Amino acid sequence: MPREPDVPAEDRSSPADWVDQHGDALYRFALLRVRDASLAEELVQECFLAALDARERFSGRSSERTWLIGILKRKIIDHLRSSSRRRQAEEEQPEDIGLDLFSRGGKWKSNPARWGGDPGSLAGQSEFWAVLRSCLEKLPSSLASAFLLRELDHMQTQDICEVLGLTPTNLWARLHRARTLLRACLDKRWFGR
Amino acid sequence: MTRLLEFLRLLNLPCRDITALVSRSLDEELSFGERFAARLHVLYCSACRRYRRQLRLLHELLGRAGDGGRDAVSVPLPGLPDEARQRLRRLLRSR
Repeated sequence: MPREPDVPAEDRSSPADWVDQHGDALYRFALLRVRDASLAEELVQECFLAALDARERFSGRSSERTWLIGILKRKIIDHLRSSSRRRQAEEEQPEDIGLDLFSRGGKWKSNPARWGGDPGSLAGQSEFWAVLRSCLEKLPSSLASAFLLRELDHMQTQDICEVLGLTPTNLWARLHRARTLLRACLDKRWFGR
Repeated sequence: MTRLLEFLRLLNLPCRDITALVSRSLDEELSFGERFAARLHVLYCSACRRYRRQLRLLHELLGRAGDGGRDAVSVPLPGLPDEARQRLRRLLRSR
């Protein structure tokens, strides 16, 4: 693979332009993951400050956007790590996954509904993404952090366990419960319309 | 012997436990026995088969939304609020 050419210094934008060039993208990236507007702003600010300090070391081998997103990602993970430590004590365990979907013997109470339409076309429909987003926002935060690190950022399960201080069994239970809740929400708000 | 018993246990798992295996298969590789049991189960259980298809679809769509962690491309989200934009501009100019 050919190496990307280094970006000459004069092609890099000055920090004063970062807000206009990358502010929205960084903010959306954080907002999708932490689901709280003022926290997302704070993380973007921390990202910019860290980027200012590290500016000399930016090789220009990746784009400026990719470089900033990388810094922001680390800030988000640091935040999740420390807030999971704080929460740990009073944290509720994910309740039984059942969600009343299954009988006591573990059989379906009623079969999952069919999802009509062409699944391939969903990704192109902005109304679908809006519904998906509002379903993600409803996930309890004890499930959402693990779930979003896994699904959006493809983080490996052992790394998620390390960041959030979870055992693998506990993590699987959370991921499964998050998927079950999200599926049920879309079932009701999109596919069942 | 214990491995055989474990295998037989897996083959008898109810739908509730199969759905948990289906979920975990999206995150990491299942053991041979688990994989076998889940595949066999969905061959004759249309409810779990449908559930698996739906979880896989969500997994794929969310992966696309996160774009492998590069950018939030698909999901409609508001941009940086004006007040924050101005505050950050001032902050970066002052350095």
